[in-house]
Amino acid sequence: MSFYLVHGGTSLYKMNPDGTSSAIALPTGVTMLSTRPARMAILGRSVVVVNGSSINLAVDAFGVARPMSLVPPATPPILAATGAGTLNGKFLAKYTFGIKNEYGKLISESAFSPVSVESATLVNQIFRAYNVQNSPQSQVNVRRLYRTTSGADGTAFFPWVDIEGNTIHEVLDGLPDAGLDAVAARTDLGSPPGTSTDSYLEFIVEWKGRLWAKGSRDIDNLLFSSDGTLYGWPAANAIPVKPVGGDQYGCTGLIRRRDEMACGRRDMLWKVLGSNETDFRLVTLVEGTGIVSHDTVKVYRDIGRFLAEDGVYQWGPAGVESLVDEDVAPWFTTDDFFNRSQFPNAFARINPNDVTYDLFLASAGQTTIDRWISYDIRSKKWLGPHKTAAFTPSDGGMIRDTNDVRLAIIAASDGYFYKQTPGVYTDLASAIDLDITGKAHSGDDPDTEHVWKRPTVYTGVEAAGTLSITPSVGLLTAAEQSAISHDLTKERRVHRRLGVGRLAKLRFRNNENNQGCTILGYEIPFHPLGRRNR
Amino acid sequence: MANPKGKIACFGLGEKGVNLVKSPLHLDDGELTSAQNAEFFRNRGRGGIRKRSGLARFNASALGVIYRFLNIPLPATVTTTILAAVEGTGVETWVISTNGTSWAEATAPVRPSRATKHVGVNFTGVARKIASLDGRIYYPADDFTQYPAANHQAPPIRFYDGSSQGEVCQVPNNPSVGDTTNAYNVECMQTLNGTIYLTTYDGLSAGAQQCGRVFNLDVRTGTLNQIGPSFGDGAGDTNPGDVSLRPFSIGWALGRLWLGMMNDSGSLVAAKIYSIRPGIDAAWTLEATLAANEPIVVSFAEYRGQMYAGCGAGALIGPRIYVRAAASGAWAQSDQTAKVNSTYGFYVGLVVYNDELYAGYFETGAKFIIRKLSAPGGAWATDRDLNTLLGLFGSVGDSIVVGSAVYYVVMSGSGSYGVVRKNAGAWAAVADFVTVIGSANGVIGYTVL
Repeated sequence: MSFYLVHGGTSLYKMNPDGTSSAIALPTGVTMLSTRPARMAILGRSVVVVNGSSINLAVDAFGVARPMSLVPPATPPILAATGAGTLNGKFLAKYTFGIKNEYGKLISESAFSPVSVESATLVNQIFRAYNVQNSPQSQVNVRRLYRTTSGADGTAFFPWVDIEGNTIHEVLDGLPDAGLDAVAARTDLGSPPGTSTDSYLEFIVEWKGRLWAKGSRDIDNLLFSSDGTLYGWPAANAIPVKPVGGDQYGCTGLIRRRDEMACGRRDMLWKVLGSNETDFRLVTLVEGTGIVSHDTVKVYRDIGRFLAEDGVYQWGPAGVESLVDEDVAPWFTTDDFFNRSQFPNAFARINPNDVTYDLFLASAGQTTIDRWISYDIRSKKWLGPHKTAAFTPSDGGMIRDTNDVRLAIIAASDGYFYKQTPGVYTDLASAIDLDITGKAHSGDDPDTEHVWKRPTVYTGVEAAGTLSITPSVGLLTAAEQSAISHDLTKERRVHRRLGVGRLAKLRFRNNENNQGCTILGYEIPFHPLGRRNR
Repeated sequence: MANPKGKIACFGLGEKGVNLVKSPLHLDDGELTSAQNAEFFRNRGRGGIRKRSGLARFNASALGVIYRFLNIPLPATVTTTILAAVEGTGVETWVISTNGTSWAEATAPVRPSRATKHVGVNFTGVARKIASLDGRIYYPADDFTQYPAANHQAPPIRFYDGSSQGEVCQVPNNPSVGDTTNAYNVECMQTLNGTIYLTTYDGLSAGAQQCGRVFNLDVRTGTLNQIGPSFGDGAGDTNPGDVSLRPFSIGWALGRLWLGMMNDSGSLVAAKIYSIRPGIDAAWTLEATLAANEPIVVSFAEYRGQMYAGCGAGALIGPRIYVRAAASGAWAQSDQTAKVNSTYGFYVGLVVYNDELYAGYFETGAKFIIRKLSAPGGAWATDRDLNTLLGLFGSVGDSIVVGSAVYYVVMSGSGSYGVVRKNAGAWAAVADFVTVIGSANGVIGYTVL
């Protein structure tokens, strides 16, 4: 059964399927921020947390948080010749900080320290390696030394010896060259932004067994970790996302679907090709459309959906397609509905039960996210904008309850998660304001005056409740008439005559607390009166 | 939709969604210009539209502004199970606990190798370590006929993952002992540096040399791989210099596997410490030879970068803990406990807990204590006198750290057994363990799953 990592307030919580939670102890000096939301990815049974923490974190399955990557040693070791042994010649050394787990496995390793000054010439002697610094990060429990072989050119380092703990500063060792590990020192270590507090990773995803991310400073580069590791981020693992310097946003999001991944800027999408460091590269996927908020990127059934500056798009087998051009484009291209300046703060979720892509936005004039719209993935239709009086949404997603059943969830700024409750129609004791407006019917003859007779409205039978039906009859700008009350305990009701006018439109509303409401359809008999000449 | 009969029939509100692109005049029947808090539904309702369902709180306590959350498809709770292997006349093979205080008997998996199969005279009664790695335990099992009994078999190694169990492999025979002679037993089995290592006692060579080997267990393939040469007097063997010395305890530090030898002849020939870099070194390196009357290295622990070895001593010599100096590589005394009688005394179960180094010490019928070192170079102190805690003298077995507590197995001289635990700074006997294990005759190892 799953658990959940939650960035709540200035804490990181582990929440269980029953809703109970406990704060995760953070490494000394590490804080969760109230100014940036955490973004997370899973790799190798660990969860990495970036952006919302003062440094990158890795949380294991036991809920233990460690630095995702370690600050490397700043000073080189010093090699001295001593004692009697079998080593001859001059050598170089360097070292890393590391963390071993309870089984003694190395689970994190920093980048290398500077390389030491060349040792004095050893003549049948052993080494004393000293000036091996302690890490200021308390989780470090091993320092790993590497050295060259006798007479080598100084570029090939081999794992030499581990100094366990984070206390002592030196070691004596006379291991001959032949005893060194045959595999040279790793070349895939390195520190990503967020290793220390002077920078951070803005977002991160897992793809092809690596972590991919964008740094807060080097905004035009797509960074990626070494194969299968959380902690190895070589400086060379950076792919420029062109046009470098083209705007102030750089990379804005990543979409991973199937065996593919796209990297977005505000106004274009690149596709990442390749399978390893030697051939990862970008090719243009689409120009003119990009990602405005990484948190709106959601993939469901092989198709990635995301918010661009002018609407919602999907990237699937057919390429990049707009989901709004034919129906709700004005939501995104005018200021009538939403505050478009808040698009970068938008977020989305997949509702697995209703199979919808739900996009959370700020309504016009607002700077907080207070609305959401739903794209029905099966029918390809939009509904909304939706709202609630109970809370301010702050994130959305899916969780599993104690029965391992999926629940669509909205997280809120009040510190609670809110789950869908089928059959219950109240938002924490607040009424849900259903408000639907249909088309303006013309009887296929909009220039003819009609007598709109008594409509019949079909609804689902409820135990109680009243549906308010407000007609508008006349031109498109006709004022609303007084509302008609429709008894929701009845399946079919015939209401009063609507009146005379060219067009007729119905608005359905129910804002009663704890009241369900289903509208199955309506009929409006009419007959034409004739055409006015003025 | 045209309607020649002069009637609008609109029964598809749940089909077409919101459309703001078309002019209101051009919308299709069923299309909407707004659909606030509406949802389609397919549970016998396709074509209709309804109010969305409500939103209720999922968690009972507020977590502050929730910025982001992530579903982690891993078990919500990872249960740590402590397994103590027991032997006796009962059918129980283990006692098991998930909280350290409540214990229950279990008849699965198969019992580990009994203490009586640990051949020797000096050190047979103390619980051996059992390995745990990635959600499984690996241990030498008792279900074999030990050499030299008729139809003797090779010692098996089994696994258990909490529900299923099985044999992983068997210890191969040692050619230095004889082609038809099976190894006696596995002495010690531990997970070190991410790998399971074990030591074996293989028997006596033609020259009466005690023979033994060190292996690692590749859990992916279930194969044993010998580390370095065998200890013995055969061709290619590492000869420890005395016929009674053989491999016993193991530890890991400084990139090396450390091996503590045991003199199991009843003599007091000094034990030795060897090291090797598995997969790199072709030979064992002799690191230290203990003093006379110190015939066994019982346990190792790496503490703040330095290697410690807990040893046993006979005669009137006070047993010692040795520490290897990082700067010189020399082994020196770190602690010594004066003995009362001319019997054996042992430092067992070295373990780092809360950044301090602990060791159990016992001298049968005379001393029964837990010692502690708080910082390298400092002085050891008695952290708990187990005699005053339990009201008896006995032997201290192995140690294990689980969660926020450290545990030591205690075996009294009278045949009853128990566990003591330090948690939140205080030592206490785990009463339930004694109650549960009452019918058993011994604790032969324990581990954590």
